[in-house]
Amino acid sequence: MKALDIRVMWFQRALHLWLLVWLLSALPAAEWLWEHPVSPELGDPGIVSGLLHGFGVWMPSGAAVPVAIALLLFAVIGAFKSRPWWIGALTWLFFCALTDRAWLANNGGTWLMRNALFWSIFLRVDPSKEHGPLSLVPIQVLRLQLLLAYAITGLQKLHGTTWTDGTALGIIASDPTYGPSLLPVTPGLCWAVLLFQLTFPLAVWWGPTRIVWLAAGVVFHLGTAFWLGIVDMAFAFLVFYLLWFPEEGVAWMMRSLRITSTANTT
Amino acid sequence: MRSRSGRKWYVVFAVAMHIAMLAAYTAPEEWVPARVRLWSQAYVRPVFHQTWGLFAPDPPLCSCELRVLLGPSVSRPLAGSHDPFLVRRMALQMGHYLGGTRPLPDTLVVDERMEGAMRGLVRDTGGTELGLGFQAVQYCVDDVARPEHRPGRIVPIRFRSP
Repeated sequence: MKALDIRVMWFQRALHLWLLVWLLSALPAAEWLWEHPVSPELGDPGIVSGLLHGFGVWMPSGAAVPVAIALLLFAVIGAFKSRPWWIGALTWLFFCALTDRAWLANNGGTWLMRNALFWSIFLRVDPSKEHGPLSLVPIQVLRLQLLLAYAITGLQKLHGTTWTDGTALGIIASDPTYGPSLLPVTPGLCWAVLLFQLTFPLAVWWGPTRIVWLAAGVVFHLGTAFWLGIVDMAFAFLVFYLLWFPEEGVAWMMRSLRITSTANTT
Repeated sequence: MRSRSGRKWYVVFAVAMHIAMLAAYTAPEEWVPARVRLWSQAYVRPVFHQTWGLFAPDPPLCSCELRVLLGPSVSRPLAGSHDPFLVRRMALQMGHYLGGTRPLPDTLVVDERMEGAMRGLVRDTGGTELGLGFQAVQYCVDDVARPEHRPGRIVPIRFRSP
């Protein structure tokens, strides 16, 4: 199996695992999220958004919990084996419907995963075939999506004042919403975050820097997960890391798992 | 039949346009020409919506906790530590939508949509009964050099609905 196929397969599995854990953590809140939703109704959706809102458009309003259970089943299937494209399409539609209904609970991680689930409909892992230009579209869009997220958030931070003057992390750490402050917050840490996010989109194109930046990213996201409590968003980003996993690492894993490698790619 | 390399360039162009539209949609507003911004909104919002503004351009200077009044001097947060994390997040986002990341006015006036949301979170305490009161508790940084110094402030909430 090719390195690219391995990475795509890992990505698909991790994506569904994320979805599975998200659903399991959301089910105790199903009453407020979906059954008697707390989030105000979204406005007139239009044709495309109406398709994504689902409930009350092409699905009965009271079907949220059965849909969540069906999505749980799809997530289990996708986490352990390849699924047909139509299950991928339903997974995306159901996730969109549930997250639209509970939009007050959404964050950047939710939106990232909606995009990932859309493009994953078109991902395929078929070791017997070469990847043609069209089959590379979803893979490249997903890979670039990660870089875009870092670049934009870095540029947005440059647009303010507190990240450049080094006070931003102090403000976050002292915010009772995200605290308690456990890390020694220094201006250097602010600049390191800024530097990491702005340089990530360039650093991942070369082998040695890719390894260092991916490792730094793992530390960064685990930090935001367990220090700031933004767990779902942190792991959503880490799922995307699998598409940038270094070839040497893939080869090593394949050797360890005794999978025959036929070629390297991208 | 179109050659493989010809198709490749169509694909490169399509991927580049998609990413460019996402960039125009998520970049700081002042950096994107108005017309391009409109195109990006039409393309991105229905299916590919995303935002990358967490703690950017600056982290919020105020935290805002919404509370329900259970008696003359008794209150509790709309969502506490015992609630599922997505319920806590909804309570947090409600505070953000009501402008709680900046100093609030002396009285916070809340529209019908968000009133329903707030009452829905505390329906176990009779939150749907019209008589129940709410307040916001804010802790704002007044000097970014001393962010841990956050004086607290209670802001009464009044609903716009009669």
